[in-house]
Amino acid sequence: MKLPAKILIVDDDPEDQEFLLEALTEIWPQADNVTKNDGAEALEYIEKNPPPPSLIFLDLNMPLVNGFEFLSKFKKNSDYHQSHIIIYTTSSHPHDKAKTKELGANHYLTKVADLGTLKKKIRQAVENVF
Amino acid sequence: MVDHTYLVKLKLQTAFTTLLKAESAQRGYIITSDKDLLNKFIEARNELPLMAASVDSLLIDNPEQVKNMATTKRLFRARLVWLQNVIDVIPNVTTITLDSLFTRGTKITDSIAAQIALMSNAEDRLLSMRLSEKLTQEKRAASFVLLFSIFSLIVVFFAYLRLKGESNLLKASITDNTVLESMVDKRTGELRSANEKLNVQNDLLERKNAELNSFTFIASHDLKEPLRKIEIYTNKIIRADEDHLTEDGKNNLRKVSDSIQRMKNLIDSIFSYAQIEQELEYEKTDLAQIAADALNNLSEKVQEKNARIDIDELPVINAVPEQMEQLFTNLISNSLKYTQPGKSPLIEIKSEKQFAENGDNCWKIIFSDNGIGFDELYKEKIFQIFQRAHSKSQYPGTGIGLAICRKIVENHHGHITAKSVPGQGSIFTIMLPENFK
Repeated sequence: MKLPAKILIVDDDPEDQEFLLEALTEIWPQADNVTKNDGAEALEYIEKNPPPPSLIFLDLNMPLVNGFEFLSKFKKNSDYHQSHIIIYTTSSHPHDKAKTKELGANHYLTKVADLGTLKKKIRQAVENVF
Repeated sequence: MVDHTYLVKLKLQTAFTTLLKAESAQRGYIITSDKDLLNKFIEARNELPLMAASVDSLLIDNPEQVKNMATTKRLFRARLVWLQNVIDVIPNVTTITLDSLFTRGTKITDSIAAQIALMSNAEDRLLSMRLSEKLTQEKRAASFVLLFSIFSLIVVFFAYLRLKGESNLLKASITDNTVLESMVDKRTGELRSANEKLNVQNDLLERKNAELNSFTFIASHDLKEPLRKIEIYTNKIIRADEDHLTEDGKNNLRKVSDSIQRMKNLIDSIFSYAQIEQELEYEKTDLAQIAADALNNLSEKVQEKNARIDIDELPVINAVPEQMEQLFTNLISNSLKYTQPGKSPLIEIKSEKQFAENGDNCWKIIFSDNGIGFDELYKEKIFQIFQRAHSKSQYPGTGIGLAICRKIVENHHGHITAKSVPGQGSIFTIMLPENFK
């Protein structure tokens, strides 16, 4: 099984960042984890630090550049097509699910509170990729 | 449906106003022999059958009202014939006979007024019957409409009384007929403005309903966020620090945990309930696949309860797949919850093709179980939001599950009913059109 070398978390909520990092560190202790607070910061980081992350966790509701805007800008660059994107949000609205799928997100994960459940959901989401 | 009631009543009222115009023109003509008034009478007389016919098309699906309308039309015809008769015999009658002729005619008009009131009441009854099944805020909307309908009826009634009184005065004093004409116009104008007010109120209520729905949607979504944080940190304490807690501390923490779960379920249910009203995509939906997905959602519970679930052949219908999945999940989960102690749950899902009156295909989907059932006294109540047939301590739940089911089914222009024998099981029957939208 291949490991994600670099993982990017894009979320404006520090507690959610911390919780997700905890899960990711337990799944892939060797991966390089980077956190950014909004879509604009994330796009700037990706541009300045090649290669692009192999796995991106993307919140939808963020200030400045939100998840939808990040997705449509990110997907325009053909250099980034290898990156696997998991939407990581509180919203379970079918419209959000459909829209992010249309914009090219690979998975949609609704935020949970239990660490075990979160790890299980992440593993399921990437089981054929990493 | 409010529009329908309003339209039927408006058309009836307009027809009645036209009859009053014909009457006043006829009387004016008899008194003054003015040919213009005769022409006005003929004009109103010719308009009336068309007006009556336009009400017919609105009543097709209501046999009682079709019958009532037939009577109304017969009375209209009788009144018109009588008006014409009086004109024809006028050169040969005395004042006394003329008076008795007028009295006879007025009696028919009175019957017409009563008949129209009867039809309006029937429409109101129909409206209130349909509305009473809806939620409280919709009930409030219905009574607004009802109030305004009654208000417009009263306006018509008073217009009629005033006209009657004024036309008598006119007959006695042989004054200018144009006064009567302008009275009719004035009352028609008042009626129109009352109806416009009714329309504005309707729009307002529709907007308020939509606002309330989107408020519920946003509120439940925003409540989830802090609750999830509470859960994350409670879980952390349980995971990392439980060993340092006293027995009391551990106990209290478990209660916090349980309450979080309950509140989560409640918010999720309210969220789902509000979400049903949001616009969603209809597509060809294989109910067999939906049933499999629902069972997958409930797999842990099915195993835990050692339940047997038999699913017959199920159709493909035009529906919102997410809502169908929720419908099936809620109904199966209900059967898995209200089980008899010491008896393995047995759940059967069957389907039957039905033909609706309008020729469209319909499907009857039947969910039956061998659970504890419920008293049939509550067979309506269980579909109302926050209503439950069993105590919360015995069977925990939010009281929203079946309300969601009903809202989903109604959203798809179908209906859901429940039957049960306590101690033997329940049967939930759903009717869904095959090609809705």
